[in-house]
Parts: sequence; structure tokens; C-alpha cells
Amino acid sequence: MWKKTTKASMTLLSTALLLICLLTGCGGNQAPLPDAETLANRLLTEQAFTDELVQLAPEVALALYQIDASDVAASAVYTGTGATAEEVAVFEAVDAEAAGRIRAAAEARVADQKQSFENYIPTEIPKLQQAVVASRDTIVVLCVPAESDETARSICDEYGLQ
Amino acid sequence: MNRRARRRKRRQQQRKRTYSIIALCCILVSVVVVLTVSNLIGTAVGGTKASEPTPAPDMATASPTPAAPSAPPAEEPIEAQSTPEPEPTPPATPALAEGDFSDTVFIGDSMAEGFYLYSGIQGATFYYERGLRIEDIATDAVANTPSGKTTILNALGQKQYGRIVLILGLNELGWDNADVFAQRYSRLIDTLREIQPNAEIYMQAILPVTEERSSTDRVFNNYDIQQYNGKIAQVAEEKGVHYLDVSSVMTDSTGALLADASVDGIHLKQKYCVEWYKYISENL
Repeated sequence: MWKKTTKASMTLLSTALLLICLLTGCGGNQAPLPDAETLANRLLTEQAFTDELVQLAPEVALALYQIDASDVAASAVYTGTGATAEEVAVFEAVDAEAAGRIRAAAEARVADQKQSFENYIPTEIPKLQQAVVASRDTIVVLCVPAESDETARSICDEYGLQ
Repeated sequence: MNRRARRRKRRQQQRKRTYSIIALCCILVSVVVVLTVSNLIGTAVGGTKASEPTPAPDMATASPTPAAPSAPPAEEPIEAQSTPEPEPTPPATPALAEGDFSDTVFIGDSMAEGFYLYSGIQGATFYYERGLRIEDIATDAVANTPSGKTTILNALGQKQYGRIVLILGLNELGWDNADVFAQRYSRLIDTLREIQPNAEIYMQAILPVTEERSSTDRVFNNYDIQQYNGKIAQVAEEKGVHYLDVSSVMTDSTGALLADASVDGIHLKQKYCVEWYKYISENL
């Protein structure tokens, strides 16, 4: 009798411990999402670039990405002088559906850049091949770093951007 | 103590143990629920306050060599908003209010793209392609128009402009000799005159490269650029169109592009795109 009770109790205890491990993970250890400007500046300062990246006026940035202005709540887009394909772009979409369209535009931007630089400055292609395009909720990120994408991906992982 | 009493005592101890374990499990489950709810609440609230943006760092030089022309899409021209220029690092597009460019179209290569993105110019139409050469104007569908993407020449046939600024020649440096280049440019001017009979045409000189680039590059060097610019000026005079010597605002005493004007010796940093804009404003 005692053994049965103990066995049942231990089973219950183990289940509870397992639940603790699983459910605390489900809430997410992700940092809260920052705004576009803050996230863009983290990428600019922590990721290495060789070009001068300059912030584009919002309307110019949206035209460059062919994004509808009604989809965007805020943006921070930095492009290079033309000497490289290096770039940082963070968009805050108005909703999740708009974020999907913006992400598609970011991926199209990378594809267009690959086509453009292929015969223009082919040495830039490796950078574009490791371009980081990630999103979570209403935030969409594009980053084309100078060398390793490790830092950019680490920052994205911190915020749960995939 | 008799057997019955010992049994009773044992049962009591077992019950205590059981109740303790159950109580512990309840506490653990409560902790689980509280942690889960607090994580979910934290995720829903989200966000951090925006901090003052840190401007992009200006780092070491990259030195790519532009190769044969490629065909990225030319973007639909829009008005760029201007913002104040913070110190000390490269700012957002500056506020430049003077100059009405609503009747002006700029046609060119990657240099035209940089001018469009960083100079702060507003209202103008831009048709550009990285690696653009004269003959690509009639063949490459890079111009965005209301009716879709088309060649630059076709796009020019859809709207009349008061001014056409041509930023060409850089990508011919390694491909044609100067005389062939001049002939093609001359034919282009004739074609533009037919499509845009009322437009003032401006032929911009090829911008110089830095001394460092010039001394190490067989294609993009200032000797050849000067030869080609001589041909551009000659065609401009023969055809009665304007010649824009933009280089005067960004060269050193030897005629080379200022060393701090470019990352790769060719493409301009924003500060010099703004100088370029000032020149254009004063000379159009």
C-alpha cells in the first residue's frame, strides 16, 4: 500500500517537474521586440561593415524596396555608397499580414541585388549569399554584413527573429 | 507498544508522507502556472523605449571593380524627404529646399543611383542601372513607368521633360575607345532630340576617381577619364547642348577625386552627393 502510494506520488512529482521545464520554455526567453531604429542601430554598431551606410529618407527606402507605405508603421534603412551590397533595413509593419508582404519584398531585394552585382561587382555576391532576412510579429529585418553573418544572426536570435 | 498500535502509527506516517508529496506537487504546479502566465504577459507587452540612434560607422576601404553592365530595376522616382544633419557621423538625407526638378529626368549608371539616394534631391525622375552604357538605354528594361517596366528610351516617350541630365561614360572606360564612345553619344543626343524636342539636354562629365584608385586601376583611371570627358565636351559643343563639369567641386589640385570622397575610389559618399546636388542646382 505504501509502495503504491509512493509510486503514484513520485510519478506526479516527476510530471510536475517535467511540466516546469517545458512550460517555462514555452513563454520564451526572447527579449521584447525593439523599435526599428533601435534594432537597426544595434546591427550597425555590432556588425562589421566596410562601406559608409547612410540612412535613406523613408519614402526613398520604400520605393527602393517597392513596399506600399500603408504597410509600414516605421522603418530604418541604411544602404552603402554603391561600392558594396552592404545594407541594414528594419521595418515595423502595421500588422502581421503586412509584415509578410514586407518580408517578401526584403527577400526580393536580396535576389535583385544578387542579379545586379553578379556582373557588376561579383566580389559582393558572397555577402548577399549570407544575407540575413528575419521576422517576428510585425518586425522585419534585412542585414547584408561585410563578412560573417554570425553577429547579425545572434542579434536576431536574441529577439526571436527567424 | 502492541502490534495494532504500531500498525496505526505506521499508517499515520504513510498518510503524512503522501499528503506532503501531494502538497509539494501542488506547489510546483502553481509555480509552473505563475511562470507561464508571467512570460506570456511579458511577451504581449513587448518593446523597449527607442534610444538615440547611433549613426553608422565609417570603416575601412573596400575596393571592388565594377565589371560588365548588369540589369537591376530602376526605381520609380519619388520625392525624398529631407532631415537635419546631425554631427559627427553621416546623417539621414539632408534638407534641401531649393530647386524645382519636377520637369527633370536624370539618366545614368550607379553614380546616378547614389545621387538619387543620398543627395536630397526632390521631385526629379531617375532612370538608372548599375553598369549602364549608352546602348543599354535602348535595350534594358530598367525604367519603372505606370504602364510597367520598359527601356529608358520607351519611358522617355511616355512623358515630356524640360531637362534631361545624362550621367554616362564610366562603364565605357574599359570597353570602347574614346572615338567610338563619342559617336554613340552623339547618336544618342540625336535620338533624345527626336523623342524630347523641347528638353534642354545636359551631358555631365565623368567624375574622376581618387589618386589611389587611378594609380592602380587600368580601367578606372583619371587619364582615360580626362580623354573621355574631352570627347563629351566636344559632342556637347557640336550638338549645342550643355556640358556639366561637376568634378570641379570635388577634386584636389591634381584633378583627382578627393581622398575622403569615396570608399572605393569611385562611388561618392553622401557628403559629396550633396556637393554634387549644389552644383546641379546652380548650373541647371
